[in-house]
Amino acid sequence: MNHCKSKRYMKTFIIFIFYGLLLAGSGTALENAAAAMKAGLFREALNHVEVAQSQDHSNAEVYRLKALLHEALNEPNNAIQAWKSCLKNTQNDLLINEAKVHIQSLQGRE
Amino acid sequence: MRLSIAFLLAGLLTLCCWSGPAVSPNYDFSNVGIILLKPVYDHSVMNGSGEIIESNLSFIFMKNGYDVSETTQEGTSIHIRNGGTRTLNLVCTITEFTDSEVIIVPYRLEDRGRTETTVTQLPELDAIDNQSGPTTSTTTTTYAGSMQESGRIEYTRARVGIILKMTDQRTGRLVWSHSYWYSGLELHRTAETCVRNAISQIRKLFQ
Repeated sequence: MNHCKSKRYMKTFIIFIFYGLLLAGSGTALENAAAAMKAGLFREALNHVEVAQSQDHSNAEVYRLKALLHEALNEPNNAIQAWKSCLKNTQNDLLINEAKVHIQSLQGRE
Repeated sequence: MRLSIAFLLAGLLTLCCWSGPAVSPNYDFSNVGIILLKPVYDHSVMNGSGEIIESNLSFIFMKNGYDVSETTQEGTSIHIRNGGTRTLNLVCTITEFTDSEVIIVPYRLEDRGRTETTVTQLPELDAIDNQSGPTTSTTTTTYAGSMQESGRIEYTRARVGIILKMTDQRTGRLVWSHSYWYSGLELHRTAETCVRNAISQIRKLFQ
């Protein structure tokens, strides 16, 4: 309070508040995931892929990558969920076939 | 008439969608005592791929409770404990063996927009002089975002494919055949899963 009284000129405080993230798309997260995969850090990559998935819910390729990472981490139930999400979001016959092969294999393993 | 058409359509649909193994309908698998796994040749793209698949076949058979013997010159013999006398030759051909298939993931760069708020505060002395006015003012500006498709990343994955054939050693008759493939991030795990899926089908013949 005393500090404010000591000043004679008008003092303006400008506060910029930015809501949300600026230009923060799934791209950065996926690039981080790809880098982590190259280093063999599958858990780290999965964390980045989950961020990318939260920003782009309909990208079947992201779900495929997520499913493959879960399989590499020996998490069959999570992998099945990711493959099912992949199936829901694609019309690509090759991807549909791949998802079905993986789901069948993973369900047989349970 | 309608029933016949329905049966015909169901039959066609079954033929089109069926991806199970081809099995000789008249062969009696309960007479089989030994499966002789022939040496697996390398795929052209990778030396040692045949050895990897062959070792995986032996490993998975053993893991499933079969007696596996690698002493024979002709290959690995897998003994089935059902008292059968017939021998089946199991031939495995590698159709695909890669750990560097490139997968492209396109992504959208999303500008979600932003809200900018400016708060201006008058000093207290001025505020006392100007009793009627507010001491702070706020201006809020919102910028719309935009959506654009603009990027992609690449990663590599492994893919392994095999064809298995079983023939009766005595007659040479083909009694069972199926093809499998699997994909994954690691080659050794992908090969193992592919072989495991194949053997799970073979096991059903002898249960």
